[in-house]
Amino acid sequence: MKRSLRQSMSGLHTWSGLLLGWLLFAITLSGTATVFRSEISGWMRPEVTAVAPPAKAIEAAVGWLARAHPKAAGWYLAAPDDRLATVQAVFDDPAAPAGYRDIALDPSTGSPDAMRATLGGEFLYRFHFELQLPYPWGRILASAAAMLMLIALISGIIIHARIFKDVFTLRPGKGKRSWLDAHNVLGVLALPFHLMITATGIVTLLTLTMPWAAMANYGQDLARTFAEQSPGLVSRPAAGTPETLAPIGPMLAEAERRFAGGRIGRVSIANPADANSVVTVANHDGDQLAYRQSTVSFDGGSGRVMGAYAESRPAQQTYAALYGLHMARFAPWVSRWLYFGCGLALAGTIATGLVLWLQARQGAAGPGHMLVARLNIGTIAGLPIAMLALLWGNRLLPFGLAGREGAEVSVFFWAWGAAILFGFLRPVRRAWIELFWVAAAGAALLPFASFALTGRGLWVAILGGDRLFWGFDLMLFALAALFAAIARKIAAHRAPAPRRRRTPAPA
Amino acid sequence: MTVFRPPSAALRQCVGLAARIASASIGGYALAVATAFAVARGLPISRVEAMTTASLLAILAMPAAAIWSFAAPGPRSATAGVFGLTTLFALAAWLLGQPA
Amino acid sequence: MSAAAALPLAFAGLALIGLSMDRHARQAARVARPARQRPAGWLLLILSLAASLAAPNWRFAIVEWIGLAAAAAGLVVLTLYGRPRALAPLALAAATLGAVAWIAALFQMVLATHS
Repeated sequence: MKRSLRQSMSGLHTWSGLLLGWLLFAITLSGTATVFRSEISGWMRPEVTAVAPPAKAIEAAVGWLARAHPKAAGWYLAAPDDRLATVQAVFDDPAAPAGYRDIALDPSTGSPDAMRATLGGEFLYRFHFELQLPYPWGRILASAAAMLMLIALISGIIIHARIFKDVFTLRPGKGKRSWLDAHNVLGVLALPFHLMITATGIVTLLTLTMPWAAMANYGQDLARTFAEQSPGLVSRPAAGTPETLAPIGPMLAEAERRFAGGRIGRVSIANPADANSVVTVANHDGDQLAYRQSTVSFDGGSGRVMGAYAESRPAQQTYAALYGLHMARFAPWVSRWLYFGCGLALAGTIATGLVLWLQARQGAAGPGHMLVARLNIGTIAGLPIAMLALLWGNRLLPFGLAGREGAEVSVFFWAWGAAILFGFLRPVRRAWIELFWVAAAGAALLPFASFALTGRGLWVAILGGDRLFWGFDLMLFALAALFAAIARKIAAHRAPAPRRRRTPAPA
Repeated sequence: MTVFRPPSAALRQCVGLAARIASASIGGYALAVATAFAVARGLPISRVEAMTTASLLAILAMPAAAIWSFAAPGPRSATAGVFGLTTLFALAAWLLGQPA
Repeated sequence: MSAAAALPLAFAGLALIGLSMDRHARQAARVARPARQRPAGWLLLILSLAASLAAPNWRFAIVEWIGLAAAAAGLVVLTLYGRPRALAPLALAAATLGAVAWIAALFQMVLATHS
């Protein structure tokens, strides 16, 4: 059957977009929220008010770890920075259900005890690429979704060949035409971002999905691969003899000196209680575009420098730069907000695309149509509700609750499930309106509830210069206004009477 | 009087679509793997640099395969193109052999 | 701050390009003169990029500029959607603002090297 390029690409675009469209919306929205993961983490740990320079915070953390988990095989720390006050610590712990713990430590005391147990913004970050599924399936699914999105973007460009002709066109009140305009505007205006974030997203999961080049050149010799990829890595097996760790302060100072203006980023301490302990300090991922650049390694017992490395090989740097573009750790505040805005535009592109599919098939009432219509509601309106529920749960769940971190995550998924169910039970139009009003209410009331429960926020934050909290309150009010506006727009819009079709609608 | 209908155009269309989808998905990934192998071994640079470059380039193989699978005039040319190129790259990789 | 110059200049440039198209010119109650408006629009966009690149780290600057241009384009769309007749005066105001911001930044740079 002879078809034009445009027609064949149109089919490819529709299906690659529709197949995992809802998953892509979830990945995109959680990814957009992750742009501000540090701020979300800070808001979800309101007990932490102390701020300490990175070196002091790491010292405090190491102090606590030496008392509480001296026998761990390794302590992996992420230093605080201007956006995040706490130290993030990962270490093996046989008592933990997963075999390891990933917790935040207070920057002045080094202890996690004074703050509520929560995953913070890390939950949204992990959900974004692991989808709450066991390793490696979540990541593989996320990568497959990203590839489908890349195909949808490229086929979309081919279809919309005269891309600059309509670049500013947004005609309201014309039904399907308006939705198409919106889909195109959101897709084209931030197109460089959409292409970049999708392709770099695939890059971040490349070691999992594309191990073949390594296999081609190294066969099964994983050790060799690793050694050649990270020649600066200083690693030695435990000696078996105990030795206390030298003070970490001087090591951090020496590393900072070598970073020449860079900040301390990560500190990993292998075999801390052993004679062969190794302390490796890496500079902050955000000091340059490339994610992960320089490291300095020390002998743990003596504090003597064992090695230093700064990556300079072109392919490795390209890979690191692409990784860094996705992680946006480098982004100063203007760029950070632009990433956020473009992320919302991408989420909007996906959402309008999903609605457009229905609009283009107005007369049809088959099961496929119904499924798409209902899932649209539960996902596009439901996911923001789920994220708000996560924040509400963080405030409402009791401080000392066992398994509190998991409980917050459960709240997220229960809320999302409820929204999806709601979308199946209520009449379509009412469901959209009601869910967006729920979202608006959830966002508008949260600053007040949070203030009542923590004492931080609202006018206290404004008067006290607590930028994190008044900024967060402002964002919540803005989101409430947005959701309310959407709800009112849907309520005011009267759908045009469905036209009778002579020929069956296309699949 | 019944009229005998040969295996209909609808069935052929279905098979054709399935072939295109297989070519885009399975074929696309196979092409990516073969590309990774061929480029990793073929590039005249250090082993580790070639490996990273190859992995990055292999990303482009899937969209290329998907676009071709659907833009190609027929399902036969779609699958032939993708699987043919895959075989070519795989052969090149095999002939080059693992670097020492 | 380079974004203070780059964003208004990008808005002015993109607005001008939009106004050079018949459909949007009609919306804005103006006459399209593509021969003059389009090159002028592109020039303003390039000036916007140059303003961004004045920042110390050119890699960060390019990433930021791409985002700023997208944001500026979004603002043009919103203006055409909500207040189309304001597009031309807003473009003029933005170009002026951008020029002032750029001159202020140059001034600051000159002062810094001389102090």
